[in-house]
Amino acid sequence: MIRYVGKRLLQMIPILLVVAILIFTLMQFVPGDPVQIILGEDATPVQVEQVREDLGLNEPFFVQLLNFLKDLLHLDFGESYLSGLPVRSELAMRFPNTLILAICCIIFTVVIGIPIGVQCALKADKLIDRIWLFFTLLCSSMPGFWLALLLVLLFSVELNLLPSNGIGGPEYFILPVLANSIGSLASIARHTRSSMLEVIRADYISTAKSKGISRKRVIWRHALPNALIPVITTVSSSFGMMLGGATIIESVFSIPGIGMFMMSGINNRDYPVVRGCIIYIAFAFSIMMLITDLIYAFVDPRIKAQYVRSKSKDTKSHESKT
Amino acid sequence: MKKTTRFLSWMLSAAMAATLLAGCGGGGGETGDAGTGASESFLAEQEGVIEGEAMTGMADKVVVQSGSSSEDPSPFAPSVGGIIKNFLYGKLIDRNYYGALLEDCSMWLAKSVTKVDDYTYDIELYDYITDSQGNNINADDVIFSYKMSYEEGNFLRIGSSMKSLDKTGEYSLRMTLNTNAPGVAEDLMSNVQLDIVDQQWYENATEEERRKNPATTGPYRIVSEVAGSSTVIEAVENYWQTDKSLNPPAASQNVKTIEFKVITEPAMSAIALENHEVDSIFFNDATTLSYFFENGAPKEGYNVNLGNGTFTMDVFLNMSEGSVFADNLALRQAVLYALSAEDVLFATGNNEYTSFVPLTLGTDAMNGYQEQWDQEDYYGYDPDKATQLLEEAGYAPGELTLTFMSSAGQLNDSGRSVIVSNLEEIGINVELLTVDTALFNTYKYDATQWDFMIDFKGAGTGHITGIWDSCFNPSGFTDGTSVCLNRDDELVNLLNAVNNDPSDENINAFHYYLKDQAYCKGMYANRSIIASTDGILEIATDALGNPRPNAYVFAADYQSGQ
Repeated sequence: MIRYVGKRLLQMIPILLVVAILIFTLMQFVPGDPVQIILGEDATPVQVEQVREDLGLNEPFFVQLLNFLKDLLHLDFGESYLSGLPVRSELAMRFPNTLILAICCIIFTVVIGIPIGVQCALKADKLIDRIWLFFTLLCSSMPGFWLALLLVLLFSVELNLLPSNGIGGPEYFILPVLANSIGSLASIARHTRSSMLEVIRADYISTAKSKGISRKRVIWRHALPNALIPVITTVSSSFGMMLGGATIIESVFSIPGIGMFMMSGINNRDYPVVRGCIIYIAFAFSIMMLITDLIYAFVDPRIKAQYVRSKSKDTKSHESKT
Repeated sequence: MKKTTRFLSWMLSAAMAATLLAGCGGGGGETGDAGTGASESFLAEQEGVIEGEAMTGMADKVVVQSGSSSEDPSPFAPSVGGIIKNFLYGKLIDRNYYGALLEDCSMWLAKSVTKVDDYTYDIELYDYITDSQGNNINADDVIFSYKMSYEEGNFLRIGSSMKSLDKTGEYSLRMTLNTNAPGVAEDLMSNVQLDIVDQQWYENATEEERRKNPATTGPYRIVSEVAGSSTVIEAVENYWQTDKSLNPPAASQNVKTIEFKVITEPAMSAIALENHEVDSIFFNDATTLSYFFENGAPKEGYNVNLGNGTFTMDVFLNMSEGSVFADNLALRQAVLYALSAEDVLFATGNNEYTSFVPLTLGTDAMNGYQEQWDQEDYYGYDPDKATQLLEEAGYAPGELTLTFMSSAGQLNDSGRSVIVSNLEEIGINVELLTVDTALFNTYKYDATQWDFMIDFKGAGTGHITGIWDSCFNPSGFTDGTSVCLNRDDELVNLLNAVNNDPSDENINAFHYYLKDQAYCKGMYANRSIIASTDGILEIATDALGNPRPNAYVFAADYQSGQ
């Protein structure tokens, strides 16, 4: 298993490298001069030229790319054109807020979404199933920012129960978590339902039932773990996205996270910020995919067996060589 | 069962409809009238002063919205649209209003500023200035601060307008400029991007100390900062200027603690003020204003300040060689007469309180603005005249197609639609070129991209010549042209004359020449608006219209959050 993790981590290097080269190249060829944004209207042509020189923007493309990759090896994403602060430290400062938001969202999504999905599958085509299906359709159709504003109007303005923006105690995260999770909650509930429906109609479930195993045990011990395999992919993808920062939700609720940081970078054509954020997102997503694969192994004995088989094969071939 | 299903369906539908209505109606019902009820007057007055018994001492706390999530309070860090540093670092002088010249400025760190000649100023500092950590500030520190503000903080005017800053004594300096344009010296001595600090402290401090606990020469010091979320500053005890009568408004300490809370979305800032999560917000859109202001007055429970318009949205014609406008005055006039500035103003979501139509390239808030211009017609909307001029220009209706460039971030689709329909009304076809801000800033110097464009322009110095200078001074353009991509020597001569001697005669000469040439037209100017709870009796602002909470006048019973 450790070997597998190591192999996967090594595989991430070319992925991140490709992402880095791609984002650098794309941003390089997007028309528009960042120096004009940095300096504004008062800059003279001489000053513009000076800043271009200082930032290395007059160097040929490949020289700029090599410099960028060299810095990247030292985890140096450069300095923000606008604030002059290192992007790495800005990301580090904002990461905890995004992480808290993402963890709360995914817990909320899983704890509510999966039981709803199971309930729907068990009561398929009954009234309760239809209500939940309607509810999940409604939730997944609602844009996050709109829902966010509705929640603020209700809980902050009308009821005066929760703060409308900013960060602080746990109460500051309630509305952002709700607004950010509803969409993925609905999606996970629907995935769980369809996956569970497939599983509970499988032969081994009928066999288990015929053996007299209690319904509760059949569902929770036999059906659910198998039904969860495709759901894990959805959950981990959602979590990966959330770790990349909920751009709109962070902006609406003024949460200084990665999403808000990237948004300001894009708006201001702050190349180092955008590059840093995208590489970070690619990294976070790759890690999430790795964790997903590892979770598969724990949930699905067949995948675990594959690891064990490949490990024993390696050991045998090693022994025969020696 | 069927009945139950039907009942539940009805219930759900009703709940959904109610939710939708609640969402769409949250305050929105009150937003329409202000925009559509076009008032006769486009010059609304609301100075942010309401009746009430004022507090005599220092208020305890005020919470103010900050619109910048990237502001770094360290000295010489670029301000990135933030205002917090205004309260931390002192300047030589404080401009009492936008465009104020030296005689109307208050001294701050400078005890006196003497104009030796048009290009030279002698500055004497108080000899007892200390920062919040007790370090003495002298001429060397000021010279160091100017150098750093230019090199690190992008205070570019230092590089372009200041020839030298020399020490003439322990507490005296001589500033020499390479321009005598009005307002430049004042801007150099008071600009918000100038941070004056002690050199020794700065050089010995770590990055973290500079950010978390800088030695400040202004009236406040940092207590805490959560990057991108909030910053709390506190009045410096034993502020170096003990004689309150010598303190400019910028150095007021009317409140002990100021908390700046980052809220970047205007809708959320309005909610935060309604909820009393903040005490004061600033914005410039009609929707947000409608929550706190109706029928020309603040709603109950609020105070509102409608500031001056310091930036104007202007239409510029491409006058480069070979362009359709280059040798066709009648066509230029036809286009300018065809555009309805009032319609564009309302279409962009503004109203008579948030914006107004300027009557030249500049606004009446700028120093040097001539009152008689208010009575003149500066290419006011006149489609009949425009049609006639188009014919004179040699174009039949439908024959001419113009490319109109605008920045997606500066003008909305409705504004663009109005401009297109205005021109189509007189028979000019329009092709839209809508680009993002960065691309716009590149294309606007490229004559092949557009025939006319719309752009924000301001006078950094606060003097009307400042906006003219930024648009038509060839030294500001790589190819030595202008914002209209041509070089008109007569206009340049008039600009030089008005910069050398901003007399009414020279100002009018430039204004009328520019008007006769029909190169551009002011469309609308946005006011900077501040709304607060009515516990703030007087909303103070700096020369640019930014909130100055340290100088707010608080009600006797004022308490933050109530």
